[in-house]
Amino acid sequence: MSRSSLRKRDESFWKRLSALQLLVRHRAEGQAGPWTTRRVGMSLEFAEYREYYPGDDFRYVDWNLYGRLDRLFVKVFHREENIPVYVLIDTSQSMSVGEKLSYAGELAGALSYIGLKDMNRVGVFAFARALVQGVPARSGLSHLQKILSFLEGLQPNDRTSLSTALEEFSKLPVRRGLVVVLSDMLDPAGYEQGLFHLLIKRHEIALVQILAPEDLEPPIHEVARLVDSEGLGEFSVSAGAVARYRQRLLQYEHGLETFCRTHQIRHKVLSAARPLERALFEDLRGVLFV
Amino acid sequence: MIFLSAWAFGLLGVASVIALLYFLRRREERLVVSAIWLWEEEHERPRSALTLLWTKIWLLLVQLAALAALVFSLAEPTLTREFIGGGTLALIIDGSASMQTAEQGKTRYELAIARAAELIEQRRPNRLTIIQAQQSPKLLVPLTEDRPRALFTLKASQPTLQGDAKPSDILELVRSQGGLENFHEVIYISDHAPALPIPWVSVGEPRKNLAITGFAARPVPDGTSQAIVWARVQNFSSEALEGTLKLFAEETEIHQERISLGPGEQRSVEALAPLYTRFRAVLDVIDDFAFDNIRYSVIPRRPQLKILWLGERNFFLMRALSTFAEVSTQTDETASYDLVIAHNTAIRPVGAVLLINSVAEPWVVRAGSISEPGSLQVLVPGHPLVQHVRGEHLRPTTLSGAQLAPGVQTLIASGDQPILAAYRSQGLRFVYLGVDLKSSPLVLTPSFPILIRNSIYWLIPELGLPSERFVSDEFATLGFADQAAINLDPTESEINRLGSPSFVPQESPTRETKSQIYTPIWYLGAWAAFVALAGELLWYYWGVFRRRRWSYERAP
Repeated sequence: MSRSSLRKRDESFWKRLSALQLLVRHRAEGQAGPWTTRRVGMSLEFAEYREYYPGDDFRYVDWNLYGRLDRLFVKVFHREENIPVYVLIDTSQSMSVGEKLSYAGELAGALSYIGLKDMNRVGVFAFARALVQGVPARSGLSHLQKILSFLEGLQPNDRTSLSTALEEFSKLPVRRGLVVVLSDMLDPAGYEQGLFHLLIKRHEIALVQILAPEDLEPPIHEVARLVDSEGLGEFSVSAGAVARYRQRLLQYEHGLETFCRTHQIRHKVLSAARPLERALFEDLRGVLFV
Repeated sequence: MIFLSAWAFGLLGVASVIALLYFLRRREERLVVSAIWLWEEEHERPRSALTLLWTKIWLLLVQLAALAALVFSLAEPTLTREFIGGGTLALIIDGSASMQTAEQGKTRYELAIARAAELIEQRRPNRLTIIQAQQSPKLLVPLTEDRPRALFTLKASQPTLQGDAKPSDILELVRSQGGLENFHEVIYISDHAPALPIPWVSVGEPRKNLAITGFAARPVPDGTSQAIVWARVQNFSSEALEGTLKLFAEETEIHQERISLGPGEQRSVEALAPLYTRFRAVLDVIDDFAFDNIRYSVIPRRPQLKILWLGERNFFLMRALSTFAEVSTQTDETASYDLVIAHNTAIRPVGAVLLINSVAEPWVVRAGSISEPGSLQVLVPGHPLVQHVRGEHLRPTTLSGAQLAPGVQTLIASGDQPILAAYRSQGLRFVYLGVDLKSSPLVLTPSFPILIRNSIYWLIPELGLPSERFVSDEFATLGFADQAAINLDPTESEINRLGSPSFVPQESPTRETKSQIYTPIWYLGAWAAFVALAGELLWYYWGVFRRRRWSYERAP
C-alpha cells in the first residue's frame, strides 16, 4: 500500500484506539468474550431459575428455595461470549482510484486491533470479482501482525462483483458475527444480491463505503477522456457532464442508503481524503464503534 | 471612418496566441474513474474530442471579441463626414425686453434660439461666436469650434428686460472676438431691424400690446400735500384694444379708468393723489407683452445738503439750491460740510467747490474786468454741466476776466474768457461760473436752477441716484412683472416694429468650402472590450463559486 502504514502510527494513536469498542447490536454466538448474551452460560450475572432436570450440576441447585418450596430449582446465569468480526475489503481495480484501497487497508487494520484487544476473533478477507484470499478469524493480539501483513500485501486487481464475492463469503463455514464491508460499493451489477446473502446468514452488517475525492468531484475542467479503472470502456466528455454525473451518483447513494436502512445495515460514506483519525474517532462512532 | 493608428491592427496577431493557449488549456485530459457506468448517459451520445473542443467555445469568442474591440480602440477610429460649410460665423441675438413677447406658447427669444440653431446646422461653421444684444450686450459664447456646446449655452440663456443695444457696443464685442474681417458671416436675429448694416433674420409675428409708455408723479407746486400722477397709455397693435388703467399711491387705489384705444392711438390720464413716495400704474388688459402693463414712479426725498458759504450771500442762488435739496448753510470751516460755495470772494479750494465769480489760486486767477464780452461758445455740448442749459441765458453783460490753470476744462466761453469751467482731480473738484450774479440776468432764467443743479450733481455724484427708472434682470420672467419695480424702456413696448427681414438664410451658403468633421469613437471599442472582459471574469468566478458550493455533504 502506498499510503503510510499503520505500523508507523505513534503510541498515542494506538492508545486512543484502545478506548474504542466495537458496536454489536444483535445476538451472536461464539466463545466467551466481552459481550453478555441471553444464552445460558457461566458468567456471574444471574439470569433466572429453572426446574431441575436429572443431569444438572448440583452446584447450581438453590437449596434455600428447596427448603421453602420442597422442589429442586437450579440457578441459570448469563453467558459471556465473544463475537466473530469479519472484515471484507474490496481490492478491485476501482479501489485504486484515489488510494481508496490503502485507506480501506488502514481502516481494516484499526478495526482488527479494536476487535482483537476485546478478545474477539477477527478475520480479514479480500474480494474483487470473487473472494480472493483472507486471514481466518482468530483471537489474540498476536493475530494482528498476521492481519497487518496481509493488508500490506493487498494489490488492486480485477473487477468488482459484490454479489459473487459476498455469496462466496456467506458459504464459508464461519459462525455468524459482525461483517464489516470496506468497499466503494460501485458495482454496475448492484449490491443487493451480495448483501442479501449476508443477511440470510444472519450476520450483523456494517457497510463503510469509501469514495475517492475524484469520485465525488471529478477534476474535469474542459474535456477529459474517461477511462474505467476496471476496463469497462472509455470515452470523452466535457465539463458539462460533471453535473449530470453528480446527479446519478447521488441517486445511486440514495438507493444504497435506503436499502441499508430497510435491512438494518449500518452504512457510512467516507471520503478517502478524510484523515483516518477523524474517520475513526468521529465519523464511525455510532456506526462501528460505541 | 479612418484609423489614426492603423499599426494597432498588428496586435490582432495576439489572437492566435490566445486561441492556442485556449485550446492547450482545453486539450483532452485522461482521467481514470471508478465507475464509468455512472457516466453512461454521456457515453450514449458519443462525440469526438475534436467536436468537444469546438463546442462551447464562446469564452474564446468573447476573448477574441474583447481583443478585437481593444485593437479597434487602439487604432483610434474616427468618423469623418464631409460637408459644405465651414468659415466663421457671428450670431447676434436680440436679448431686449421685446423678445419676451408671447408667440403662441413660446417667446420670441425662444424662436430666435431655434432660428439660430437652424442657422448653425445649415452653416456648420468651423468657428462661431454668439452675442446677446441688449442695453448691456453680453458675449454668450466666445469664439469656439465646439458647436454643440455653443448651442447648449445659447439654449440656456434668457432674455433681459433691458432696452435695445447700442450698435457701437455690439460692434465692439464682435471686434473683441478677432475683428469683423475675420467673420465670414455676421447675422442678427431680432424682432426688429438693427441699426447696423448687417444681415437680419426676423422673428415674431404682429401681436397685441396695450402699454403704459409714460408714468410720472410730482408734488403739486401750490404747497398742498398733494401730488399729480400722470400716465400715458398707447396701443401698439393693429387692432383696437380695451383695458382698465388703475393708479395706486402706495397700496391705495386712487384712480381707475376704462381705456379703449384704436391702432396706434395714445391717451394720457391725470389724477390727484395724496403726497406719497411710491406710485404705481397698472393696466388690466389681455395682450401678448405683459411687462409694460405696470409702471412705477417715485417722488424722491430731497437730499440734505450742508454748504459752507464763503463770500456774499445771494437770494437767487439759495432759491435755486432749494429746488432740489434741503439746504443748510454755515460759515464755520471747522464743522463738517458737503460743498463749498464761494461767491465773489477768493478762497483756497478744498473738496467740492462751486466758484461763482471767485478766485481760487492757482487754478483760477483774476485777470481784470471785461466790459464787452465776446461771442458765446459752448465748447463741450455733451458735458453733464450743460445738459438742458440754454447758452443764450448765460450771456453776461459784464464779465470778470479770469485766467484758468492748465487742466481746468472750459465748457462755455465768451470770446477767450471762460464763463463755465470745471476741474476734477483726486482731492479737488470745482465748477467755475464767471458771472456776477448781482448784475447778470442769468438768475432770472430757467437755465439758472438747472445749471446749479447740474453743478451740484456733478460735484457730488452720489446725490443723483436715479429713482425714477429702475430695470432689473432678476425678475425677467413672465409672471413676475408685478413683483418688481421694473419700468421698461418705452421703445420696447413697440413690439410690432417687425418690418421685413433684410436677409433670408439659404439652405447652403453661397460660400462653399469643403470641410470635414472628425468624431473619435475609440471609446466605443474600449467600452466593448471592458464589458466583454468583465463579463468573462464574472462568468469564471461564478463557475468557481458554483464548484465550491457543491459538495457531497451538502448535496440534497
